[in-house]
Amino acid sequence: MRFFRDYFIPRIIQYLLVIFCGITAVFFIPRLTGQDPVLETIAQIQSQGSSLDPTAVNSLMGTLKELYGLEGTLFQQYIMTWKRIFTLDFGPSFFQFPTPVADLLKTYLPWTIGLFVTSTLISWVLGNILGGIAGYYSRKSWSKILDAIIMVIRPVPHYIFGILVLILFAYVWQLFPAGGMMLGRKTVLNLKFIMTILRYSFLPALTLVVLGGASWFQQMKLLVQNVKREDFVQYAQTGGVKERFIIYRYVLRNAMLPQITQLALALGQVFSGVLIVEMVFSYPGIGLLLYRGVTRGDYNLVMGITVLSILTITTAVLILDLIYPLFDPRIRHK
Amino acid sequence: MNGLIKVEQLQAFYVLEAMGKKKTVKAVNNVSLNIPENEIYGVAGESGCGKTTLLKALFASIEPPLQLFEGKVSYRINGKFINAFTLNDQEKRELRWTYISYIPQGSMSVFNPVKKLKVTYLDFLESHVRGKAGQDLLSLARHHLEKLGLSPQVLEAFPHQLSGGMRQRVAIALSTLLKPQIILADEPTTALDVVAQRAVLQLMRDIQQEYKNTFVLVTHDMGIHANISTRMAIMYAGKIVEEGPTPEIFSQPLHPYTQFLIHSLPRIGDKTTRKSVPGAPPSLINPPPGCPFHPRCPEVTNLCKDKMPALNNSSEIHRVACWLRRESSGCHS
Amino acid sequence: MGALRDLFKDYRFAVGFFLLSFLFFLVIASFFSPYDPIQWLQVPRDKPPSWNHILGTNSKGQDVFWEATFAIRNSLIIALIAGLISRIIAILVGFIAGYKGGFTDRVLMGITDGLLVIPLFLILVLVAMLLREALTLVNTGLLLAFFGWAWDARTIRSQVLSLREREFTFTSVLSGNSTLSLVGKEYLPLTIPLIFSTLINNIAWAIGMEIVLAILGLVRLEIPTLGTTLQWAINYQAMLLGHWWWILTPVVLTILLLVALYWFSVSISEYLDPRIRIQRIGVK
Repeated sequence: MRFFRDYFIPRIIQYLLVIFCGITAVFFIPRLTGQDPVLETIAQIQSQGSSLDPTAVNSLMGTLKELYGLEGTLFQQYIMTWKRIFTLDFGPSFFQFPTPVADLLKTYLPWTIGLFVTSTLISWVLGNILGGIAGYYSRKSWSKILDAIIMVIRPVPHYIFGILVLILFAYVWQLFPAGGMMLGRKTVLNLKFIMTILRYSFLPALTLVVLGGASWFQQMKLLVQNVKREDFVQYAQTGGVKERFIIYRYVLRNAMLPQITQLALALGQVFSGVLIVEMVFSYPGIGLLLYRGVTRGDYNLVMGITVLSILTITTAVLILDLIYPLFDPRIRHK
Repeated sequence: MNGLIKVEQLQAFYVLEAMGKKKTVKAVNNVSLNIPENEIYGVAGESGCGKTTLLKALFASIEPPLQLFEGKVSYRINGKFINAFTLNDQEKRELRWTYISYIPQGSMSVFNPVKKLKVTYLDFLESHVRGKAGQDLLSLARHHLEKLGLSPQVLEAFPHQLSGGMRQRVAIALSTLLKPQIILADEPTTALDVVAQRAVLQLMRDIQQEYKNTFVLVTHDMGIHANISTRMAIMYAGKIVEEGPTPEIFSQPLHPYTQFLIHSLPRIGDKTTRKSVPGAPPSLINPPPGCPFHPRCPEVTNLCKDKMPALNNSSEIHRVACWLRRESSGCHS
Repeated sequence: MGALRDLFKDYRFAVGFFLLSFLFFLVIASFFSPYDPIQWLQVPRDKPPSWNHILGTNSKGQDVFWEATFAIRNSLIIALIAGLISRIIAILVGFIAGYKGGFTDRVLMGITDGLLVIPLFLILVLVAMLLREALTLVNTGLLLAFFGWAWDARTIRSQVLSLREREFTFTSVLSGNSTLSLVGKEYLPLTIPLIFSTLINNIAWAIGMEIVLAILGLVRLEIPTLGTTLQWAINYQAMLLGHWWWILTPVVLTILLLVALYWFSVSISEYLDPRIRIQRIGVK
């Protein structure tokens, strides 16, 4: 039980602290820009063609102020923000008025979570195993060739790689749809529906798995080349332990540990990558919602997405943190 | 006496290349030895004289940047001598732990940190013993540990839960598990406190007496050699300069270097000032010509600077490589 | 110069170097462009590549090749501003946290960690939404700089921490050198390789981020950058209409630029990393 106190509690406290700082940052940073989102939104409307007479503008401003939680002093606004978060009330979406942002999020979030979890897991596991074996046999030519290929893939940003995949698989070789999966269809659990999901998710998932896997591959390869030279690996080799055992039980198993920590640190970036890829393929997730919200100046929506993302990622990191002792006996015992 | 390993004119050098320049470190420079059976064979010498490299060669584990330039190392298997370097990887793997095993320096960190010790033991056993179930192998291991006076409970622990000395002894137990005929030990007691050291040495002695195998014990600590080595070789700058039974080496050291080593040891009751060897060990990249010790030798002659003396038999059992001891006569009893 | 020769033996450095030179040449070319980067309808629209226009023309009536030269130049300007300024912040935070330690360190690292776990991307987007009109080249660079220092501050701090424990620190402090001279004259040169590689990574990140911001419509779209040219191409359905030259140009150029930067930085930092150097020495 002492373990719980020493390990779990500090992490849970840290978790709550980060959320607190994150929300506070989300509160303050936009206000630091000195821009007024109300004026911005009105400018957006006017730039998109409609003109409003002064009285209409005034009443619109009042409504917007209230909607955006910009009434009252700074302190009142801050408390208001926290109140709204606890009730998961992000206000109504401006351009899908009056649908509450929370409803929109509820509909689109599960798709993102599905894509996020599956693609991250697959890319992490595949990337690490491939990278580990390539690192162990780093002198062999197949390892060097693979490394060179990955060197070309890794630096490409998510959006560009997504476009490339899109052009290749949906336009040049018309194997998969170019996106635009309809939302709002009843989620029935039959084969046809599942096949549809797979068809529409394949390309975004492929993009994420390849890009993510490339990054894990390289990190693991480097890691394994170092772990290979550790005393206990050399000893097992000296002792004639079967190579299969050495690769999996000694090298990979040990190199995996820092990779779990790395995963936790990278989750924020991985999540951003998922959102970006969703935009490329019009995948019905938070990324697509974000795209619509930003291009239409829907401030509430974007705020809501930001807060939700903070909660999602910090929770995911906490889960990883809590799982880690299962893999490292040095933390578990004493 | 029966030789177990024959080393003939062995030359093993490290070849290093940096920025286009090549450097050759002559770590084992023309060494010829006969490792007998049923002995604790000690190899003594300063740090950097090539002892560890010699062990690697004995173990037939020569990998870049280490290269075999000349000579051979032969194992006596089933009555015949086989050149260890002609064996392929598979054959070498089979010999390891069953015929010859190795206790590396710093055995504190030789165990897989994320697995219990019993898993590591099983890994080694399963890689060498065919046809036995895991359970049987484990009871073999437990039995072996008990015989050596160690608690079988150790196997249930993770490496970080044991002390350094305990881990060392577990490593020694592991290396002797399959009853190999030769065990190479590289500085098995460094970084251990005196109490743990004693336990480790006692363990080695017990194993040797029980199984009548041969330990090749490499350490710079002459006190340890005095304690358990039965026969010794003194190594200097990649060459063997003296070899003989331990009591003789200590009571009648012949080579000037050996004499310095012995006389520098403190003795109870003797309060005279100890003298250490003047100067510093030579570079192995550019060893001095002739006898490598001549720059520091108080009895140096012109012949010493020119030609390297061979390890002659001043008697069959006590050999020395020095021009000034050529005329040593008679048998030592 | 022996170092340069050694570096060229690494295929990654050679390729990266030549690619970067090629792209730099294109940037220089932009100053000699016969066309104005912003004006529409300067040439016939939607023409595929020909001798007159080596990369064809786009739907706005602009020459794709010359637009691209400006695009590379502007993207690089944004990225350089972002990279250099965020270096300054990262170095300051990293050094102070690493050297002072204690409470200052915990506070600074708390802020940094907070910024790392939060999806920076989203806050960046939020702020960009508010600053829409003001996002010129320079401002975009500054915006990206403001969000891009956290990771590298942490890396630099670890480096400083390990330097602090080394012997020469104690000797320097004991001989009465001021902190500033110790940090400036001793630590800084040793951390330059690290800072350099984080700079390149940051530049690459900035280029990628700029593209996303452009797609979201948050950058001033008349200024040609790798992101905006891509955005225009997508907006005008270049894919569906088969105007492959318009959409592929920014895509391919971005890939070339980023691969070149990555190979260049990896080969240099591996060359300077003592551990990998030792590996290279023993094995031929």
